[in-house]
Amino acid sequence: MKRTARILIGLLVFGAATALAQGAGDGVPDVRVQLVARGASAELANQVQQIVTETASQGLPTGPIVDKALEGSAKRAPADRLLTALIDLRTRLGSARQAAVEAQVQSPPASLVSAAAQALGRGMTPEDVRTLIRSAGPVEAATTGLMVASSLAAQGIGRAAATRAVERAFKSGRGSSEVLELPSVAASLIARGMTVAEVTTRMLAGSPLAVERPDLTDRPAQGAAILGTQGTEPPPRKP
Amino acid sequence: MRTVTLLVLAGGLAASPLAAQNASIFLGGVHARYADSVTGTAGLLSARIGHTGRRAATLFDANFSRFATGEAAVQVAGQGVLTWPLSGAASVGIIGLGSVSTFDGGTQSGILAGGPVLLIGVRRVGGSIRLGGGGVRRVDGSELSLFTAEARFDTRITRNLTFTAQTAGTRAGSLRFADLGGVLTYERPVLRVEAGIGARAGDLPDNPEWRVRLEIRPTGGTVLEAAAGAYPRDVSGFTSGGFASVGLRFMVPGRIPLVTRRTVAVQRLGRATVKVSIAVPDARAVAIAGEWNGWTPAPLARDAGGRWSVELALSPGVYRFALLVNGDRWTVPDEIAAVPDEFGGKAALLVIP
Repeated sequence: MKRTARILIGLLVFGAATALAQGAGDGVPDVRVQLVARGASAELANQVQQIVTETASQGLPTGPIVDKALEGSAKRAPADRLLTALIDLRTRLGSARQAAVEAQVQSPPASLVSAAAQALGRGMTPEDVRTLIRSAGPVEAATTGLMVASSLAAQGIGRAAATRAVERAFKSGRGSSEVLELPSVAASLIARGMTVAEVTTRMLAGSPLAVERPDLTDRPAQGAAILGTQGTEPPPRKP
Repeated sequence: MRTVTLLVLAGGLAASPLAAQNASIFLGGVHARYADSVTGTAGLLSARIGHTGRRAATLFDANFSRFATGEAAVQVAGQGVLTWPLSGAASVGIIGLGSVSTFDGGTQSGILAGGPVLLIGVRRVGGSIRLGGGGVRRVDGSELSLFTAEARFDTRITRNLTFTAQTAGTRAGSLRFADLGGVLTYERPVLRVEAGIGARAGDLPDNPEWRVRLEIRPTGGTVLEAAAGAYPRDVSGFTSGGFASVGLRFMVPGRIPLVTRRTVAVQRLGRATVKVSIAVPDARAVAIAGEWNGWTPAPLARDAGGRWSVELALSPGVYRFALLVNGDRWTVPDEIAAVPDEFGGKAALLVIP
């Protein structure tokens, strides 16, 4: 009940404040209602909206800012922490757009800028971002490559190695769907007992799916004299 | 409906040595009909233990069978391999294997062999070449030297479908024969279906070999196995025959199943719809929130074996998400790539290929 009352009061205050203030503006998403509905104060909601508006005025995509704000509010992040995260993200979005422009993408779409910002957040450098964008070719593929490199970095593979692995994959002719498999392949190799360093070596060799050892649960050659056992076959035989 | 199971980001960054082991007990029955028209029905009890490391793997099976007529048979077999990488795409190794079969306490037959192996794998294609030498003790007490050469080719046709072709040449004493076969395997987290055929030319000609195997894993710890087929004569002196078997394999707690069930599995249901299944043992309620739904927790349905699932409309890409467990605890699944969320917690990465 307390929480509901707080939300209702917040909405009323928020409504009064916004009635006096300017609206969110054309094309700028208004995140305030969602934030207040999740229990954020009207003050915080307005501060977040201001960051969103400023982001839009800089020509940067607002989607990642809104998404981060909603994530923070869902997780009940403290207001100061949420605002700091949003401002940091806005800075990364600016760096990401700059890197994309330097990679000869004159009008980078929001998806590409967002993916590049995510990569920068994983410790990748603007040069890594430029390398990935150039190697991918189409913008859609570049977006995928940036997301995959970010995932590989999150799995413990160094940012330079992750960048080179994705770059090599694109240059060897792999499409986006195959590049998207790299994180699962890396995870699979790690699950099989390889160290992150070994996985990295294999990724850079361009053969992440290489067979390292036979699967002994597979039966040896059918009919060969060397019998493999599969529990229930071949069945026991009477002499 | 095209159904594709994608195993996503399942590996832990620091898998413990035990995570690569497997141990299990199998209970079941088999009915066999041999070429000399003798038939037999037996109960089966078998045990398997194996270990897979970075450079070595071992697997041992012990099977005890008691026929309806009272006789008992014991089959024990073991295999081991040690490998050294040559490059990112090739390894060399040594394989050793042996097996012994006894019937009512008397040794029937045995094989001991070993040799080098070359393994090659690039992208969706892999293969191996093996050479082996050793000896065979036949059911009649005679002994033969044994030499084999075997080539194997594996290819992944789709995410769930693999094809393996094998050919082997065998020389056992004065016997010389060659085998050629292929196996098609369809695998999903809860299901594995295998169908194979083979043919032989040379001194031990026989009817075409065939077999089908089915494995259903209703839980992470139990596997229903069923198999049927026809097998050829072998150098030990056994006749050919056919069989059908069924049973349950129980995984020893603390070990992984024969095929690991991943922490997070994604099953594609359509062009833009996926089913996400996540292992969250001991939870009373689990909800998922991510960048696709404005971080609004959406409840997951409880499945068997401590897994929870939900259908999502997601196109290929990488998505940040987190789980809300029991309504009050934000977390990410074990053994999945995750990044700091900048709020003191983590966000997991869901990859939809």
